[in-house]
Amino acid sequence: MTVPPSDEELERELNELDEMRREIGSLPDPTPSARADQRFADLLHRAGAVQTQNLASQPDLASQPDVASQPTRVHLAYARGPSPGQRSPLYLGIAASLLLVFALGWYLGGAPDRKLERQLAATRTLMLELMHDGRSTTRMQAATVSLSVPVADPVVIEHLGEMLRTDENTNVRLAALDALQRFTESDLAREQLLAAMAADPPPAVQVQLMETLVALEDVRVLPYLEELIQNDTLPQPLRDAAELGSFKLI
Amino acid sequence: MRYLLILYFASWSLLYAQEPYTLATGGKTIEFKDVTNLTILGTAGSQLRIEQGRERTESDSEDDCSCDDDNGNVFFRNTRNDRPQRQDPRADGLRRISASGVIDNTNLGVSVTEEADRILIRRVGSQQRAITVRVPNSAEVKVGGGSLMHDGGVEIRDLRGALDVSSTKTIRLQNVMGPVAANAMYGDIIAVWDRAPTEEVRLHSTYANVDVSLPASAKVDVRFSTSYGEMFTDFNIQVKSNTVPEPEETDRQVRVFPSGGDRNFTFDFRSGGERKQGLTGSINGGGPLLALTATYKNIYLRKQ
Repeated sequence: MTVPPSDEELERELNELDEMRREIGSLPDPTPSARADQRFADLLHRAGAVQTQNLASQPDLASQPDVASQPTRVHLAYARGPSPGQRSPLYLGIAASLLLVFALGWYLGGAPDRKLERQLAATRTLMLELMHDGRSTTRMQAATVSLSVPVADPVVIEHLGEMLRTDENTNVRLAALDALQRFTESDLAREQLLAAMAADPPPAVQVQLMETLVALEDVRVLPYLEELIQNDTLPQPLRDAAELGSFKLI
Repeated sequence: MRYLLILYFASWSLLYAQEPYTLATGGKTIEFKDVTNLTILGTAGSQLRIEQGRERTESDSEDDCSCDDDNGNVFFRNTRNDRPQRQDPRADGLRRISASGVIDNTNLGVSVTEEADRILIRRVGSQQRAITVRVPNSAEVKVGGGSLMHDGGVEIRDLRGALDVSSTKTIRLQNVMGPVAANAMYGDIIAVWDRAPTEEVRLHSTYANVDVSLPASAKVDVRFSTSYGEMFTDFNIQVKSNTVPEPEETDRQVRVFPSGGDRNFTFDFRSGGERKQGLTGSINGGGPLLALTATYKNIYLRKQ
């Protein structure tokens, strides 16, 4: 930059500054001493050893001996930065640690689900075994074991529905109906109740089914109620109950 | 005069009395079909024994009365049913046969048939007479059928085997210690346990009451259900939730068993609670299931 020589003093100061800039520009670049360089290498060596321990569960990474034993190369690698196809061990270690934490969280978080699945599987198997027993009191226990199921499991509901529709014994059907009433929030359970209503159940079951469906305000039971009302071979109290239920739903 | 009286009663007994019928059970299930006015007693023996009449129990009054309850149910101590009936002299030497061909092979108004895995006892004709059947107390017993046209109900005592009863009339149970399931369409179910039940018990009456007495120390899980009746107890019941929400349900409040008079009733899982028609809980920490249902009447659970 050129300044017009309008003032002698100004020109003199400008010359001094120019001289100083040249002196500074002629100074050599500083270089670290061998001792400082060694301290830095030791620091990286310790950091590399810690990372190797963290990666012990990952043989592919932990088996790279130069991570800990060649601090100079690590230093150079850090100086250059990772290439696109080659991630540094430290980055890989951090990534692996995060992955491990997430995997552990997923595993522990899913534990209740797996416990429930095991419980459901055991209940389904036990129910299937009990509901085909020759003794009616044993078949009722199939309904009893379902009382411990904490969710509306479709298989359990279908087992109960089958008992309610097809078992020859009135008390078994009543037990199945009692157990199904726990799941009346489920559409599948309601379907099972309606299917049982259509399967010409014994009178005691029929009344209980009718009352359950009427209480649930399920209007799909109305045709069955009408059928009961019109059937003059049935006991009058049953027909009266059907009529009362019909009044409630209409 | 005294001798005349003795002679009179002796001849009366000869005229009316029937010989008991006995049969070795061989561990088979004993099944009753359409037999009314029936008392079943568990005994230590291994034989089935059928007798006319019934034993007087502690609950019977000294007076021979006709005892109808509030619901019109006729109890066993019905004078007409308990008194031995005289045979029709014209039927002497003949056997009663039903319309379905079942023959009275006991001369007690019932037929006994032994099958591969069961002993089947069926009513023949219009059997009105009370009969008492003694069975091995470990036997599995089933009672089914019955008719509104016939008086009487079923009384069962001191049994350890599995019991399955379906009746139109009153069912009385006392000290039945095996798994029990009983339903009565029009009659009460009255059950008494002197010792706490150790097996599952399910009692269901459609049009009458269910009345159960247990020892105060009994440990049971209870399930009560009634559509129109009330529930009474002097036990301390730890109430539990009774419904299962759909998997996607996040609200902790769900509808349970809405009924005609209480259609929007909700059950709060946070506080535990009671619904209009049903109750689930435990007594003394819980134990075997005690499920009581009285669809149109009341449930009573009382301490002994």
